[in-house]
Amino acid sequence: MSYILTFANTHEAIFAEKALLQAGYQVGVMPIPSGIKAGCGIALRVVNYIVSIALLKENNLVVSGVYQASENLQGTVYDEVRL
Amino acid sequence: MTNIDAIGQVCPIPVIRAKKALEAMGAAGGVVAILVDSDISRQNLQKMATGLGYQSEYMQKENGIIEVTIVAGEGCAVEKPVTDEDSGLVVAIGRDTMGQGSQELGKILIKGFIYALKELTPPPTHVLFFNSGVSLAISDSNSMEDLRELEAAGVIVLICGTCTNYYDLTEKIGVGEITNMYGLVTVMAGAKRIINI
Amino acid sequence: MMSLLSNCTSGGCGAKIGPGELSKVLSGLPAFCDPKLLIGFDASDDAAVYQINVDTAIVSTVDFFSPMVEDPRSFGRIAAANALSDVYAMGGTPLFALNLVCYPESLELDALGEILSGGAEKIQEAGAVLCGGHSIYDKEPKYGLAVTGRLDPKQIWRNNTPTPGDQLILTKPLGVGIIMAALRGEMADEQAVQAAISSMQRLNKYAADKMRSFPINACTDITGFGLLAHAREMAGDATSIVLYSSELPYIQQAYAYAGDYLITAAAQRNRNHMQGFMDLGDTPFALQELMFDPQTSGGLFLSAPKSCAQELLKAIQEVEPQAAIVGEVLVPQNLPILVR
Repeated sequence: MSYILTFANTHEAIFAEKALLQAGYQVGVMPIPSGIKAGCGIALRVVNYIVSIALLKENNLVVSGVYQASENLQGTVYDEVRL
Repeated sequence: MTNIDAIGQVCPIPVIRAKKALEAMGAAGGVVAILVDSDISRQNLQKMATGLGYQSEYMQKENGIIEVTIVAGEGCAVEKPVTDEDSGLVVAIGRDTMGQGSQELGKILIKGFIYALKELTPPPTHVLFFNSGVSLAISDSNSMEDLRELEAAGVIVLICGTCTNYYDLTEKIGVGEITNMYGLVTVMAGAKRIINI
Repeated sequence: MMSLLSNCTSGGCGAKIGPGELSKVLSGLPAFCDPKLLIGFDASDDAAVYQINVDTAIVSTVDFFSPMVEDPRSFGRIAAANALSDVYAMGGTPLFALNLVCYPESLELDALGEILSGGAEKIQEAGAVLCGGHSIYDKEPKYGLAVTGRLDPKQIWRNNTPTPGDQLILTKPLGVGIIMAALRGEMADEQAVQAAISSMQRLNKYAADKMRSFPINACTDITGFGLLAHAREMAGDATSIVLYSSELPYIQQAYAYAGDYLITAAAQRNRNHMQGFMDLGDTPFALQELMFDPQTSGGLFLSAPKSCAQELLKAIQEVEPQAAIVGEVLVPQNLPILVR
C-alpha cells in the first residue's frame, strides 16, 4: 500500500476508512508523516489511489492530498501526486 | 557539550571520535553528543560508554538519524535512564480504541498508534492484546500488515486466549501467539517500561 | 593512484548481510528438491554439494566483497583465499574458478591488474585453474571467485554433525575484523595489520590436507558471522557446545583493540543475532568481542573425537602454528552455546 491519502479533517478520514473497508478495499491507517501537511493528523494507505478516490467521491468524501511513499537510503520519502 | 557528526561514518570511526572527545574532557567531565545513521552504531557507542562507566542515552531523529548523548564525570545529568539494546518496552492493548470519547475516533487512533509503533527504535519487546483489543489481531483487521511487520522485526505478539475464546475469535487470529494470563502477567512484570492502552 | 579503500564503506566479510535478515529473505524462496543435491541451503553449510556418481560430487561456492586493505594484490589474494576456503571446509579439492569483478571507471586499471594477479596466485597455489569470469563497472570495487571443486560423497565434512565428547579445533587466530577496524580508525600497528593480512591470505588447504587422515565429525570455516554463530550452526539441535575463552587463539593486538572499543558494526549485528542462544558467563568483554568479530578468510573450525584430537592438533600446528583446541561438544544443554 504505497499511496497515502490525506484529509482536511478527522471526520472525513474516519468516514473514508469506513467507506473503503465496506467496499472491500485494503486500507491501512497511519499518523500523517512529518513531511506532509494536512488538516487531519490521520492518513490512510491504499493500494490504488485512483480507484479509492473514485469510491470516496461516490460517498461524497473529499481527499485533500495524495502522496506516493518510496524507500531510499535515508528512509521513506513521500512525493506528492498531482491529481 | 561537544557535538560530533558521524553520519555516513562506519564503525569504529564514530566510537573512536566519541572516545577521543570524552578523553579530551579530562577530569572536568562533560557531555558529548554524536549523530549516527544506524542503530548498530548507536549500540556500539552505548556499549563503549557503559564499558567506560559513562551514562548514555539516545534519541531517534528524522530520516533514520540517531543522536547518542554520553555524559562523563562532572557533566550535566542526563534525565532519562541508561537504555541498552533491548528496549524493555511492553505495549499492552486492552481495548480496540484509544482514549475516551468518540468510539469511531478511538478506533482509528489505535490503528495509527499500532502503525507508529513500527517507527520505534529499538522496537518494543512485546505487544499484548486482551479484551476487545484482540479484535485488532484478527486476519482481516486492517492493522494486520503492521502487526506482522512488527513481528518480523522481532517483536513478540501475545494474544489472550481467554479473550479470543470469549469473543469467539480464536480461529481468526492472524498474528502472534495465543497465551494465558500467566504468560501476560510474566511479560508485564518483567517489563522495564509498559505502555497501557 | 586513488585509494582502493576510498569508495568502500565496509569491506571484507564485515559487509555480509546479517544472518537474521538473510534467513528471513531466504525463507521466502521456493523449496528446491533434487536427491542428487547432497548439501544445499537448508543446513546453511559452507558450499553446495551435488552428486555426479558413486565416487564423485561437485562442490560449488561463490564469494566476493569490497576491499578491506589498501594494497590491491593483497586484496586479490585475500578474496581468492576466502572463496576457496569453503571448498576446503567441506573436505573438497578445488578444480577451477571464475573471477567476479566490479570496478569503478574512475580508478586506474593497474590496480585491477594487481587484484586479479593476487587472485590468480592463490588459485594456482590451490592447484586449480582460472578459466574466465565476469566484470562490470560499479562505484565500489569488489572481487571474488565462483569456485568449483570435487569431493568424495562418502567423505563430506558437514558443518552440523559433531558428536558429544568431541573436541573443537580452530585453525587460525581470531581478530582480523577488529584489526581492520583499528586500521580504518588509523590506530592499528603495522605488525598487527601484517599478521592479519598474512592470516587472511593463507589458504585453508594446508590444514585441510592434514585433516584428511583423521576422522572429522564436522567442519566449517569461520566467516563474517563470527565464531559464535558458526559454533551455533555446528551445535545444531542435537548438541551443545562449550567454548573455553582462555583457549581462543587471537592476533595479540586485537585483544587490546577490542578493549578500546575499536570494533565493527558487523560484530554488533552478530552479537544481536546470538541473543537468547548463548551463555557468556564471566567472559571478559574483549574476548566476547573476539568471538563476535567477523573473520575474512577465517580458519577452519572442526569437531574431532577426543581420542585423536591432540594428535590432529599437532599435525595442524605444523602448518597453522596458532591452531588450538578451543572447546568441546556436549549433549544438549539449556542453551546451544556456553562460554567458560
